[in-house]
Amino acid sequence: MTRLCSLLLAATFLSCAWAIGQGQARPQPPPQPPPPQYGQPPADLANALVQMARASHVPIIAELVWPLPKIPTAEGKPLNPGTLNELVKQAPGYEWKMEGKAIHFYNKKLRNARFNFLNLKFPRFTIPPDLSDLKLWLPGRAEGLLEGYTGEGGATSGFGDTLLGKQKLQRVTLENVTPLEVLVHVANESPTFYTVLVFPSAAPTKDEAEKRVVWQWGSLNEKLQPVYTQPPLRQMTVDRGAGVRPFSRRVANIYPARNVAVVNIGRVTTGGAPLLALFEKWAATESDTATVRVLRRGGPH
Amino acid sequence: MTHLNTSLLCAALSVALLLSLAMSLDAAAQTVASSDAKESHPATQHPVQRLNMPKDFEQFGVYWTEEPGWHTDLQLRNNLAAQELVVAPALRSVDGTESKLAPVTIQPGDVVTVPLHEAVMKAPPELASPYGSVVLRYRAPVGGALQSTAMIHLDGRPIAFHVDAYGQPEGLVAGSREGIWWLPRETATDYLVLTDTGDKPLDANLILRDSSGRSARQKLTLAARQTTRLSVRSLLAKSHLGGFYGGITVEVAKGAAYLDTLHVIFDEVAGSSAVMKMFDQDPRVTIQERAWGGLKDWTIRAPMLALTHPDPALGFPRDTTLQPQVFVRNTTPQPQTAQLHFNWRSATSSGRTRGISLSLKPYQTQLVDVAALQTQKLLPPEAQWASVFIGIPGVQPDQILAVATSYDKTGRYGAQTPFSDQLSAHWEGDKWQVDDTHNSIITVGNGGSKPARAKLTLLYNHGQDRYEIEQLLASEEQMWIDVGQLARTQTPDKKGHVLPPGDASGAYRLEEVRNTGIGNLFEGKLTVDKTYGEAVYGCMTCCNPGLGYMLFNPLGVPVSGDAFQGVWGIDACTGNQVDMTGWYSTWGTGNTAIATATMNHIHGVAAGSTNNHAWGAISWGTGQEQRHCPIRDDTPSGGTDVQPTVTISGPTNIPMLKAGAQGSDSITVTATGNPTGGTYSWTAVSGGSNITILNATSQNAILQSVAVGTYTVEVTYTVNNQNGTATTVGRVQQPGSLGVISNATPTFNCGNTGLPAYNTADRLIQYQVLDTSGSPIPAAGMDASETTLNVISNTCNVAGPNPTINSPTLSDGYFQGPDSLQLCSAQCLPAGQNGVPLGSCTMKVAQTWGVNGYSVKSDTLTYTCPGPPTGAP
Repeated sequence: MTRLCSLLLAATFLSCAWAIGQGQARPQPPPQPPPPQYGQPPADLANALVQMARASHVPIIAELVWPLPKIPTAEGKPLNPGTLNELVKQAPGYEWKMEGKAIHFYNKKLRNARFNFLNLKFPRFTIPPDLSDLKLWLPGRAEGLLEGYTGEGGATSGFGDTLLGKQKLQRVTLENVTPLEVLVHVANESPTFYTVLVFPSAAPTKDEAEKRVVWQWGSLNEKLQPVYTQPPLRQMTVDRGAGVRPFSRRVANIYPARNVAVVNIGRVTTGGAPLLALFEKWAATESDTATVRVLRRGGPH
Repeated sequence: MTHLNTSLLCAALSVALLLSLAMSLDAAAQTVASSDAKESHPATQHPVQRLNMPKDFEQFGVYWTEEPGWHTDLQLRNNLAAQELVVAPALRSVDGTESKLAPVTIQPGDVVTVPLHEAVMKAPPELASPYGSVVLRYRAPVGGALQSTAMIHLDGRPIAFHVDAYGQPEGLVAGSREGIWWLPRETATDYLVLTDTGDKPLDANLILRDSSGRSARQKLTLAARQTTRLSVRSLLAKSHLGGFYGGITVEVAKGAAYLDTLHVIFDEVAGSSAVMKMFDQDPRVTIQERAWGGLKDWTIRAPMLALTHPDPALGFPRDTTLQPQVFVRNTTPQPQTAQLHFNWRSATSSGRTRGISLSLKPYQTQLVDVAALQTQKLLPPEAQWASVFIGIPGVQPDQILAVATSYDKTGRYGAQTPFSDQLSAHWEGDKWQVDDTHNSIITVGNGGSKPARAKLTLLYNHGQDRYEIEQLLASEEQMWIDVGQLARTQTPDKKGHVLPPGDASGAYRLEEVRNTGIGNLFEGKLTVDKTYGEAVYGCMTCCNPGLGYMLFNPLGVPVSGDAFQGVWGIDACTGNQVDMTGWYSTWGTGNTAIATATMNHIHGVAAGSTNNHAWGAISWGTGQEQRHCPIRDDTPSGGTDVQPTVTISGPTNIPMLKAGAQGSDSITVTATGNPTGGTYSWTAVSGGSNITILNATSQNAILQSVAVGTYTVEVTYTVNNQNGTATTVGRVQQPGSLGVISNATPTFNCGNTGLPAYNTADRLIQYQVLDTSGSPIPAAGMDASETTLNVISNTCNVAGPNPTINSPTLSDGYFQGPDSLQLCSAQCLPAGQNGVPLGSCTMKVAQTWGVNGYSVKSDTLTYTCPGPPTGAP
């Protein structure tokens, strides 16, 4: 009886969670703007920040959330407290602060989001020889923190940057630092770049943080280029974990149930374990793992 | 005495261009290649086209006869260069009754002989008399398409003369026919033939004068189309005038264009005949209209006077001694002084005599005994030929006239050479003939004051083959061509052609090479009939365009740019298009604020419309149609549209963008107009379904992809209602694959990532986007993203690579940099000698690149410790 109850409970939980994910408990996704036309800089917050940073030659680290606030072109506009404050007025939910020579501009909610990997910590991080290598290696290592990969090294695919490659960095090893702190360190050592991260939401799921964060870099010495930051569509399949996740692909069309609120629903019996494992997999991909941990009584939180 | 070529007027026509420009109308419409113009540009309109419409024409021969013993052959030459000519002859009896003969078809450049005896036999019996006049009707693009001659001969006797047919000269109302009568022997018979070619009666005054100028006058009335044949000998007897030579005048107060006359003498006893050429005298004509070759005074020439001891080529008996003489007549009531000189030629040498002054009393006719000049050694006794030049200052055209004869004492053997003032750059001749009993001798001279290059073309094989002779002639220099000798010796021309060795005949053409104005050449021809020892002269007719027309009308000229205008006309004989541009010495425009002219070089100053015009003194028309090729002012004009210029800059390759994907699916093209201040309008002229044009009325248009294919877009830039256009051609391409530009495997020290140092090999692959056909897409802004980057297996204990998202391509379609595949892992440690990793691990990653939403490349990458990663490119 107990086994049956547990099974039913889990099944009910799953079906409820799915139903919520289909639109009851979960809010409708914000309307998506049309895809940007490449060639002209989109009139958005990311481009405004890059334009201002380029104009003032001040490095900027931006943590933004999609969709970006519409901001008229800021080409030629200086980056200073006044213009930043003005920008913040046009972009509710954002703040900025000085980090030495660099500007840190961020979405307040995202700043504290659980799966904002910029907040996770490297036990050790050795600064690479130049900014181009930083561009190649840091994103993989930072997002790998979500999977628990904390060691040095990694794997890359993608593009370096010729101009950033000219900006040499001091080889130092920072300990117990977040990726954000790494960026601030480097921006103060070589104040010649901008980096913009655009998360698909202010409270991204782990999966979103792994797959759908657009992370753009550029040199402040280059000709002003438009920055395109719209997160990729859901059908993109990126798996940075340790192995194949077929389940993840099967449920790829399910909208993330990031706002599922699950509280203590009781102990899962041994018989309910397979179903719970299945649920765990889904939750780990699409939801806040913390909810699962509530289910795993005694599990790490 | 035919009307021959005395009246043939000048043609200042570029001979070389005439041939080279005998092109199709369509082809000519494309470019101009004038003598002055150094550029070509497309024509917007070709005004010459309307000149080529066929029209009906008529020519009239003053006399034919089929009286007993007499026969007449019509020689009809088609002057057209490229189309056959159908001629409908009709014979008129003395009372004007007309009898139509069978039409005759003549191939281009060919001569057809129509024996009237046979034609009359087949004709309806309307003819009221066995002689009269002839009318030739034809439909052609130009009046000079037909050159016609009536060859009249007495059977079995060395008696023959030819009568050229002409159109009715336009505008000639009051005027006269002037001639010289000559009755060398009592046995000589003469005919003075008068024909009214028109359809209305003519009233005329016939005035005969003796050599001193004393006159006798009588009124004549000619009915419509009537022919009257008089005898000067009889008229002289009635008028009590004496002597054996004098003057003839036939005055017409109204309708002079319809009067034609002929004076011939023949002696059946002696077996001789002569044509005493008569001339039109038009009181309206001034010396300026006949000042060919840059000459200021009235100048007439007879190019081939046979001298006392004739050239053996004439075929006369060896001991024949000729009596060359020149009759010179003053038709004015004032005394005149003529200056004569001779250019002579013997078998071995040539030269020029000093001038001989000849005083002429009012109305006087004088005889210059050339034989006596030879006796006096003013002319070398051994000289065989002479050209006679007579210049008379202060008179108007045809007020002094001359006739030359050269016969032996009996009148049996001899030849004539007609006087003419005409110089031309283009002549068309009737017939040369070479066979067992005939030969043709042709001479060409330069009557101008500067050297001229003459090209004589003998047409044969019914006009299909050509024999060309070209020579540079100094002023008054002549070249002599014995056609029979060329045929006998099979002398090749400059192109290697030889004349047929046997019987041959054909038409001939004379052109002044590279002439760009009023021509300088004169000519003469004798056809020798060895059967009777008779040499009959023949004639060429001068040929020129009518009026000139601007080639481009309107002429489009870019602002601050240049264009070349041209003037074209239609040659009145061949129907060929003739470039007349070089004939016009003064050019201008109607508004120099819009356009200026430096010769035919039109420069655009500002956008707007004005005209362009030219002025030139040109040789006009054809002698066959008008009897003259006079010099006239011509002022062609046309419109000038000074148009703004516009250029297009920007890319041309447009990528497709998959629905819902991001990236560039458009390009921006920029038009730059000159001058500024105009408006722009963009349209697709082809491939319009492949693109959408945004901002179609702005300077910068956006071309957005719709479907794969090519397109052509035109921008029209408008200033002051003038348009300038430019086009750009491009392609819409769908990303289909990636091309590998480079593939390097440099060594990387993983110590740079914070690990203990060891070396691994990276793989750096530079990609370029290709379309579905494998062609590069050189377009900026295509979105390159790794749409799949799944770790399939991983023993390296490091996170998989971070995907590239939203990376725009460069303008050449390259990715922003090489795809950098590298792995550094603690699993690869420790490092051995030279940094070689001694540990091992493997990471397999499924990678798919997408461009603008299209999957373009999928690989399974395998990262290992020593590297380089494999599986790509």
